[in-house]
Amino acid sequence: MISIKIVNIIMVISSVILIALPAGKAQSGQIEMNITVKTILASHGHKFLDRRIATLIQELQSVFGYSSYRLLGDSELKLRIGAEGVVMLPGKRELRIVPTKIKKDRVELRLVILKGKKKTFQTVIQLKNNGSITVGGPKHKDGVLLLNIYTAF
Amino acid sequence: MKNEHINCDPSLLSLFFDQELPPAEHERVIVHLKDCPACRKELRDIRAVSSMFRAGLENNTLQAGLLNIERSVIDRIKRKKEPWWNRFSNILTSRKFVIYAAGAAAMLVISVSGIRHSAIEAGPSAIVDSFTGETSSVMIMETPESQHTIIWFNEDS
Repeated sequence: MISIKIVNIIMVISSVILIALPAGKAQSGQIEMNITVKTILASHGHKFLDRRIATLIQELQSVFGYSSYRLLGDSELKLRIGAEGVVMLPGKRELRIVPTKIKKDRVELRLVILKGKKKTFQTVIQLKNNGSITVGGPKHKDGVLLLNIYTAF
Repeated sequence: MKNEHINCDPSLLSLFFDQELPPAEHERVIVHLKDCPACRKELRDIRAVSSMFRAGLENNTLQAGLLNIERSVIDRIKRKKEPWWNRFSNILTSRKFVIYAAGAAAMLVISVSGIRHSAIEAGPSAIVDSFTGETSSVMIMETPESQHTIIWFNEDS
């Protein structure tokens, strides 16, 4: 039977470890981040506002004048620094994402969009934690593709 | 001085023994004792009882002193024999230490969360460091209210 003394010691030590652990994890660079990629088809056709992306549509409508926003895909990646994630896109395209480093409250991401085997666009961005960026422009069917990339770490 | 005879008086003998009689009375008792075996016996009894009391009192005082010494020696030995981890665990489990540790932990949590909060930057959701590709044009925009960053590029056909 474990004595109360030993239980108290274990509790004190565990509390200290639990407090120190998140700080240590962030410092070490081994943090795993969640990256969500939403693929959206925006067009001037028949009015359609996909409820699943209602909040995002409100943001985009302040800049774009599209009448239809349709969610085509929703991919979730869990990546560590240096690891590559791939999201397949319509029209034989793919999006490659690599987190390269974390600086304060932002993660540096290298984004590459390929069509077939050809790199059509690449960028390096500093994305805020719990923030997102929208990359748009590739033509698809009667509209354009918008890629909303969100990260949390 | 005229030697007056005195009668046997136990209370006088007690005072005589304690040397609390005036000089004249004291002399009279001495003279009386020469001729009174009963008073001499009584005096001997008084002396014996007094000795016994004194001896008992001294013994008790001595014993009390020894008991204290014994207790402190035993405590010292116990402390020396106690392994270091026992002493360490006694400190860790003492109420004072637990209270101080809890306070320190709470302060640490508050300050770390405060630092983290202050480290959260304002500004656009994304900062574009660079871009390349086979593109005819690239635009970088920000939504007015939430500063949501948008990159727009035209794919070359």
